[in-house]
Amino acid sequence: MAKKILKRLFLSLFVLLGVTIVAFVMVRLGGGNPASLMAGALATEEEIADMEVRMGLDKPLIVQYFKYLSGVLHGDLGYSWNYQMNVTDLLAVRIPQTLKLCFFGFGWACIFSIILGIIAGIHQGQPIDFVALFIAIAGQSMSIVWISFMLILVFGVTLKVLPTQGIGGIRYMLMPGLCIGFGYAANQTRLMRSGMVDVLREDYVTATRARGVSKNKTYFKYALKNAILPIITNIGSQFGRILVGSTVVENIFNWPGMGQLIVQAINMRDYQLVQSILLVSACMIVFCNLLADIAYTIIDPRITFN
Amino acid sequence: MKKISRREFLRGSAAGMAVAALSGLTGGVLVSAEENSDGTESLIYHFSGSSSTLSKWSHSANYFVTAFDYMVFDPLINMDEEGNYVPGLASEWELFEDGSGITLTIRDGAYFSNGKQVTGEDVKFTFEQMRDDTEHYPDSVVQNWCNYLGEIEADGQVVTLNFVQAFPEFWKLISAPDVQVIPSTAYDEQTWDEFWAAPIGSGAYVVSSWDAANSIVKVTRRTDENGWWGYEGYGLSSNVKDITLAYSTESSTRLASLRAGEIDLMDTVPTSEVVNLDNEGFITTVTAPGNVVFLEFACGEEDAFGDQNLREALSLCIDRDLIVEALLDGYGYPAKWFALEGDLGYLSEEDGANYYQYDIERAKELVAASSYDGSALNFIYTSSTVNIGGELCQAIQSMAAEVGINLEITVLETAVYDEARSNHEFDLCLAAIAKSGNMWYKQAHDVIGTDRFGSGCTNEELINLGLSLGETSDNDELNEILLQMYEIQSTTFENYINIYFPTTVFAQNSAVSGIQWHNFLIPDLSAVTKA
Repeated sequence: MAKKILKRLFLSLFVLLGVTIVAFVMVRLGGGNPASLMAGALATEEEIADMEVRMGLDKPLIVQYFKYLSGVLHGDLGYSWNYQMNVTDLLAVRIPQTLKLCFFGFGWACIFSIILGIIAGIHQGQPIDFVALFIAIAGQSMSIVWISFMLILVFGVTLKVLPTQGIGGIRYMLMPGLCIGFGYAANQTRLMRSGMVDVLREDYVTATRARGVSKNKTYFKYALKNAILPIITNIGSQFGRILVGSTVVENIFNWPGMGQLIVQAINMRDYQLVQSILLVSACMIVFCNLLADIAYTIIDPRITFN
Repeated sequence: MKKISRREFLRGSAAGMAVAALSGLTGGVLVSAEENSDGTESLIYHFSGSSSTLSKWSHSANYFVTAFDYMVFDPLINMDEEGNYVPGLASEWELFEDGSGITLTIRDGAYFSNGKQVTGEDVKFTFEQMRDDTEHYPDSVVQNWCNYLGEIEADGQVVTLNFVQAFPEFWKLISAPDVQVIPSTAYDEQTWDEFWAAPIGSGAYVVSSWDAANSIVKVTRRTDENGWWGYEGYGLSSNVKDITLAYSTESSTRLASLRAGEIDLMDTVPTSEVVNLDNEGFITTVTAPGNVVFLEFACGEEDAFGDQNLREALSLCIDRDLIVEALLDGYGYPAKWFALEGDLGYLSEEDGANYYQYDIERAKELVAASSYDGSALNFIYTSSTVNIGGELCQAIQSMAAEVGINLEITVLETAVYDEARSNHEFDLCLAAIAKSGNMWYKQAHDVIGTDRFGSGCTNEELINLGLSLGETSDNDELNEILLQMYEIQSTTFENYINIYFPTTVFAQNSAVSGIQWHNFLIPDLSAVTKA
């Protein structure tokens, strides 16, 4: 197992190398001259040219890329000209905030959706099932922006029980965390419910019950193990979606994470910052997928790691 | 490697999730809703703009840094609410007769927060930093000063600045405050970055923390034995001990925070909410226009808008009153002339100024008389320049269509927009530009004189007038030049037409008072009080 994980990690390096190339090219294909933006609207051609030299943009693209890559390999993610800070220092402040929010949103959404999905699957056709379906459909239909502002209006402005923005303790995380996880929870509730419904129709479940095994033991020991496999896959693959959602939520709730940062970085053509944010995001997604695959093999030993 | 059983794995996963969830319970930086023990001496101000530095030397400064400057530094010469120059750190000043320099006398009772008295040497050091700086961005305060400053002399409390060329924007820059006067020993024991992480000024407050990555600065009222000279000098007082300036992206969120009582002051209130806020008991303040929104033509010989008839037709079909009323809810001034009353270059219609008119029929005739063939004209804008850019462009497109001008709107990111503009890849461009003190210097000098934004304007007389603005510091001469330019522009419509002068609305908690508005642009909180 350890060897396989190491092999997988090694292969992931190629994925991340690909990400650095794609990010490097994409951010430059967007057009615009970062030196011109830094120099200001009224800068002369000479001042812009001087700025390009200072930012290293006068060098050939291949040189710029390998210089960046060399820095990354040495733990230096480059320099943000807009923030006038090392990207590593900047991300060291922002990444924990985004992770904190994403894990909170991800955590509640997973727990909520799995529990609700199981109950709905077991009680198919009953009121609780309709409630779960309603939540699932509503969650997938509602815009994250709308939910965010509604929560702010109700809990922040009207009831004044939760802060409307900023960072701090758990109170500050509740609304943005709810918003980040809402769409995901809805999607996963449906997945869990349908998985449970399908598994409960399997012959082996009927046979288990016929042998006198209790309902709870049948559902939670035998049925759940199979029904939850798609959820594991979903957890691994949907973390990227949560990260994307955080961009919107962080801006609305003034949560200083990577999502808020990347918007400004793209607008200002802060090349190395954009590249590094994409690289770090890719690392997170690769890592989550790896964890999901490991979890898969542990839950169902019939599935091999590779 | 030890084999992990499924049960152990599931337990571990559950524990991990619990840790992740509980991590939110711990610490963190408290940004909003912070109160002192007595609950009355802290104030939180949320901005729409961010800044990664407190130094005006190293970056283009926005309202965030200027508001900070008012609290931590002192302007050399200040400006009252009516726009008159009043003593600041300099108690007296005298401009040379030929305008080639100025002598400033620094007041005796001003001390930096480190206890050192402010002297002429400090002011000299500050200006020398700007004059000799080659490290920092062109788009900073350095750019404003470095080309103009010559020899600088200091003798006790008297400083003499000699200009190497005419300095038209001097009065605007000296009173903004644009010059952060720092101790001459600032970098003796600290690096540049260390000093600007907690800069020392002579203002009412000192920096207690600065979070550059998140644009949050906290200042606390000076407690040193000297204190701020301004409380006595201006007869002011304050009971607010701590002030937090923080960046907050969304105006709707800022508004919600104000209503929830988490913040005390915010800028850029959505105009549709101003009346509601007034009714709810908040205090709203409408500032004087600090910039103008205009349409720049690509008016080279090969361009569609190179035809004067078409330019005039577009100007005639735009209902500026309707735009201000409908899109800005009345919070702005329709631009009927190039300058507002009180600005250099202002002329009333009664005195013969040829104001912009709204005349659809005349516009149709001009379109018919022009060489325009009805093809789509590329109309570019970026939402970061003008708040209501999308709606405004659609309104103009609709008005133009009524007279037969076919505008095709292209929304661009700021970076691409700048590139398209400087490469002359547009027919019409929505833009905004800032005011310089009491005149629209940059609009006349840079948009026309140097044709910085690539309009392709070929009117030599107009271009030369624009350039000549940079050759004098004398207000009468500047006024005369601007009037001549505006007279030509009101006939030829080169190379831009103004649409409106937007105002910014600030909103504050009704418990807050004592905010000073220097020339009604940016709030100065150095003497703010909270009930």
